[in-house]
Amino acid sequence: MAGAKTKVKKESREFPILVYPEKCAGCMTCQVMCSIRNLGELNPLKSYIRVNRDHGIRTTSLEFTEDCTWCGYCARFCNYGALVLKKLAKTENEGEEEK
Amino acid sequence: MLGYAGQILKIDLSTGNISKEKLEPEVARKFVGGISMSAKLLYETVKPNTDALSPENALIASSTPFSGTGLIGANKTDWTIKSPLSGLASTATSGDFGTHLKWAGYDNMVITGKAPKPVYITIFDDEIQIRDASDLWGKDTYETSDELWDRHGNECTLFSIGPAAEKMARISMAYTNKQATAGRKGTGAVLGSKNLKAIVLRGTKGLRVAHTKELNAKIEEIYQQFLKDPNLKPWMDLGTTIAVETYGQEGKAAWKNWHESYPPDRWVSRFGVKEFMKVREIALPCVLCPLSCRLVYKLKDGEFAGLETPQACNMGAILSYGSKFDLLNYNQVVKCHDTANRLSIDTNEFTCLLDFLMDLQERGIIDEKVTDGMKLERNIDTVLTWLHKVADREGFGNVIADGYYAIFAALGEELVKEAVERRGGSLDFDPRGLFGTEGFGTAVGVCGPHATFALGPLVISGRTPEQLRRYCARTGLSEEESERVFNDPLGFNIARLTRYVERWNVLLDIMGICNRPPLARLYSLALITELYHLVTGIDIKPEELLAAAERCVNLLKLFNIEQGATRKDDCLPERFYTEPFLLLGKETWLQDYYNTKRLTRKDIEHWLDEYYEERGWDKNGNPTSETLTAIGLKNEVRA
Ligand code: SF4
Ligand code: SF4
Ligand code: SF4
Repeated sequence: MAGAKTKVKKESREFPILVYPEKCAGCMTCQVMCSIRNLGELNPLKSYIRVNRDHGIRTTSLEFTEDCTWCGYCARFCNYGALVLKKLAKTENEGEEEK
Repeated sequence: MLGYAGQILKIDLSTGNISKEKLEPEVARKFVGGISMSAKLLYETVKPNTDALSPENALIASSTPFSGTGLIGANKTDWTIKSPLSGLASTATSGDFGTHLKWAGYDNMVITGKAPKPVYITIFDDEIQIRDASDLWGKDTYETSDELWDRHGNECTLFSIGPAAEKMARISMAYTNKQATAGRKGTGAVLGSKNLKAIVLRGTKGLRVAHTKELNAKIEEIYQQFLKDPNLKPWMDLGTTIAVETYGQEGKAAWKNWHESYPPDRWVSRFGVKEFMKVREIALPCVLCPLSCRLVYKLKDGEFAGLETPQACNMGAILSYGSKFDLLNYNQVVKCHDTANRLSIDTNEFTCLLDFLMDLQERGIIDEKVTDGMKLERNIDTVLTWLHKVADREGFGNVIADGYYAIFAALGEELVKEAVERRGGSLDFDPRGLFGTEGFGTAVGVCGPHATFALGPLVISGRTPEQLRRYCARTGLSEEESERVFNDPLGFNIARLTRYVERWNVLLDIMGICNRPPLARLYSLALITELYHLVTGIDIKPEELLAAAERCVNLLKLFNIEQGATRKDDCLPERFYTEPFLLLGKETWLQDYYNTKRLTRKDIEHWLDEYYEERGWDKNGNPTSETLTAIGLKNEVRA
């Protein structure tokens, strides 16, 4: 999870997403989907996930803001394997250790 | 107005005047968005006989009703100009910019005038500034982009040019975020003519749609549908390279100035999938695209090792550099591609022109004196040398920089018959061997020969009329329209079908939907109509959306006619009638789609009559008064 800064929540729940910034292609889908879900509007720069890019080519880090509700919705739309829902990862790789 | 940003941004670089005009709801409804809004803005802004490189030309960008809504693959921006290469309208779709433009609060942007000295524009929501670009002038596209990202932040979307465009090479391009090419036919030169080095865009206003929950549910449904595509994995790994091996094996990769096909064994061993995977580093999608045909190349070893560069279409690069110049491997292709993008030279135009000149020299029609005393050999050194000569406008590079018309003017008009060009631009493929709507569209397309609106199901051989009927049903042909298309001894009428394939592609461009099959296939006319309602709250009938596509084509046609286009411009290159293509050693003539007969000029002229008739245009290709009245354009057009 290099590069990902996930705030540990007070709640007892586990953060639902595995994060692999090196796989991130920078499509912004996670940001748009988060903003629809949590703000009711389409505004990626206000969403609760930050996709930090370097000169248009690579993602340097994926950050979740303080306001992130841990809903996991963004991860459902990441088709590049950078955000993976833990529960899906578990069912898909039965027995394989979490990275 | 929900779903739209509601404003058109207009910038006059001569006066520095910046205005924000309201997008009137009736205009939005009539033209819907994207390419159709661009056509309207071009027609009203650029007057007849405008020099394409004068301040009076316009650079127009349009977002679409679907931009920025989260609808997957609906992210295209339309870029429209009067082309300095053809002298006619040119439109091109490209990723990202429009989406961010809309998030910044504008549906469209129109830039006119000419800045007194080099400038770049920053658009940060409401705050627009024209800034000094003296220190950026002369830098290549990538250096410019990197510098602007350092200055204004990595979250900005950029649109910029390099040296060839600064020097107004008519074969120059402009680029979004280093990788997405905006257009063929000289978009870069139009920026250069305006002293406009770049546009920096950051949109934080976002967007509200009419029915958020319902739209969201639809997006999920479309995304699930997308994930079911059986070809998804190969598409994601390979992008346009998915078809590369069959393409080469079928002899479709042309070289030697469209005289023959490139040897398939060489093609596969040098540019096949295995070799491609060695240089593919990571996906680089347009915004909101889960597919990504785009990528970053990285040369891990060998010649030019360490080079890392973005690419929008691998297939285009190997067809352009690999086969035409018999390059030895991907490393050489990547180096040429990187150089052209940095210099902002249109790869397709440049490589077709150089290949043309090489062929003339190989056949003894021109000598080395013409090309600055140099022998044009098919290798990487020649390519790199001439890319730089074009960008510097040095020696004969100064002529190549302005395309076929400049070459004919310099070396003799009789060379027209040796060239495969149309309206001063090069073709993407050779329709001898497989003549579908793309081939016919090469002749008639209002913005052709590239970016053909006529790309359709016939791009693959062997499609049955039944399969075509299914396509027609999905894309909204009425019963009468289908009847006219399919009532033909060949099974279908290619001229009439072309009109409807064009209408569909224009509608996709109005909505900004990418035409890559795994994305485009997700959308039908019925679904687009439903989504438009969810986004905007406007109740619209499918026919009204199709009518917007027709308005677009007719306005572009009227624009071209005003700029001097006639029926004579709707033709195929002469050589297609007089010469076969040597396809895998076999002489292949222009034939109909099912290869039942060789096509003559008379056949094509006959189809042209039928195409005009189907469109409601007269024998000369002019939209009739009845047609313009029927689609509600009568009052918009100049007398
Ligand atoms: S987990 Fe939920 S709240 Fe957090 S970034 Fe993803 S979508 Fe937004
Ligand atoms: S959806 Fe995935 S690939 Fe796209 S920006 Fe978000 S994390 Fe990156
Ligand atoms: S498939 Fe390619 S061109 Fe189309 S939206 Fe995705 S990255 Fe852009």
